Amino acid sequence: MPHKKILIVEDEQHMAHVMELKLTNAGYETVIAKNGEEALERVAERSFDLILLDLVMPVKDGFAVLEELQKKSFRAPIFVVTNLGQEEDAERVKKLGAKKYIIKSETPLSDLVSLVAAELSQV
Amino acid sequence: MRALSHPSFLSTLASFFLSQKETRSERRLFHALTGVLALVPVILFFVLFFKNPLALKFHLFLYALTLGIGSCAALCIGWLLRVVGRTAQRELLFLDSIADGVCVVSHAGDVLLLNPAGKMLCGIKEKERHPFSFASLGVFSCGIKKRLISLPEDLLACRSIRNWTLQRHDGHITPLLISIAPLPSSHEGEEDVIIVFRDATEEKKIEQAKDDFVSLASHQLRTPLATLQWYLEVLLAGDAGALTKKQRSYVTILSQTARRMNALVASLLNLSRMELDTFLVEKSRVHLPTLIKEKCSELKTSIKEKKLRVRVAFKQGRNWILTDPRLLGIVFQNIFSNACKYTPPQGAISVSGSCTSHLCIITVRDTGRGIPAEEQHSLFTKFFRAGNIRQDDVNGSGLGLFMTKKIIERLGGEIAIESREGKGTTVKLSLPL
Repeated sequence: MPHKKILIVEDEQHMAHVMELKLTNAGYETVIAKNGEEALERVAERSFDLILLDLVMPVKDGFAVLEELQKKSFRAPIFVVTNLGQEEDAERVKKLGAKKYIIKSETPLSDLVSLVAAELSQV
Repeated sequence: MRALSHPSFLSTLASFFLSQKETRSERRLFHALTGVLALVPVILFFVLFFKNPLALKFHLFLYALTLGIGSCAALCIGWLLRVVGRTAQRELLFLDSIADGVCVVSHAGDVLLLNPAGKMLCGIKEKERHPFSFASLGVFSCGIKKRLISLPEDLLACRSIRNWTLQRHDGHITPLLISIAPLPSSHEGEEDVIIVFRDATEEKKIEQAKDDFVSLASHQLRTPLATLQWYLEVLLAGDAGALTKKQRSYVTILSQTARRMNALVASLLNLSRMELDTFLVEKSRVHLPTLIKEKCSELKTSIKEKKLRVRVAFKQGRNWILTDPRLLGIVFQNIFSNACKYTPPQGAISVSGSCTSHLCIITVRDTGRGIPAEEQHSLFTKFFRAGNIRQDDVNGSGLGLFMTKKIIERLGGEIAIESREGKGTTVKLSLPL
């Protein structure tokens, strides 16, 4: 069975690395994009089974990425993984099509991997 | 004759009318009329003098008597009218000089009064006169969900809600600070509504700036902590190779410390939101037993570790409450986590609740360490930590109960704590339905 492909959109290098490490160990194929613009380029190049998307990023932020993907009727599930803890942000991204809103500092990495696994097992 | 031509007779009446008029052309017209009327008795005097000078004495006497009495009466009436006119004018001037918009809406939805500031806010020209309908002022909406207000009774129903906006007919949207009150109507059994409102654009900008600051601070403080926590988790999970026993114990301490720091940052951010007043209360129907069970289950790891006996019992009934589920969630989270932290292993925590027609009472009882009697007066102060728990290494920021009380008060409820050192603590919450 081919590996499921996950796009990690994260400007913090160490954060991206630790997510990649854990997801690769769990058997997923990962690609990292350092900002929103790079993420849209990666999405145009190839297909992904899931996107882990940060919100606060340089060049193009996560909200803008969600808006563009919504316009393109992007189908794969998008998990927003952020440290913005405001309710309004959570509501806004859900309206823009994000499937889950995960606050990094409140979620153990193992829980994030479990959520990804649960989502991808349904696909 | 002089009495008749005395300016006070006509000018008193004229001044009353003048006081009610607004434009310069209307004032000129009334001055001209006063002048013409003042000339009439002078002309009459000359006509009588040339016609019959002898009869003039008698005529003059009667004339003077009648006009004297008439003039006195006119003076008195004029004075009274002027006083009434001035009072009415003072009231109008008072309303005109208020920087806030003042509007009185009738039971039927007609605008009975709208001062110049109100007209400006609604984009209505100064010269436009009443009555016009409430709907013609623009579209009023309240709350985060922008409930549209089209009837005067909706105004009263939404009087306690913040975040009002007014969309004018030209499409301009203005955030409003508003206060609404019922006003006895001139028609018996009916109630008008008085609205005092003002442009809250500046306040909104400040509020947004505060919000942005908290949001940014939240992000910037949490990001390095999350990175730290996730790397420590990777190390503990052995993803970067096996750890020796000593290494594992040190990394565990680091991980716990990072978690504590994270919890402290979360508490401080909540606190700053509360103190900056950027905590919104968004009420919805909440099923209390479900919310309580949900919050209890978040602590299942420590309940299991300490082998605590937890019992949740609610009296049969509707048990639904109109409140903010997020804020009430924080309250239960604080109370339950205190009960878990300060109850020794194999202790018991019981949660009971009952709702009457207007009030819900929730009691959380634990068999924990309790709070020393001499310290109980400081329970709800910021950074308070009881002496008997500070000695041990139990984590805590001393912000939980302070925030809990603030939230409960914002939700319109009350909190009371009874505690006996070494025996346990009982927290009693009462919340309005």
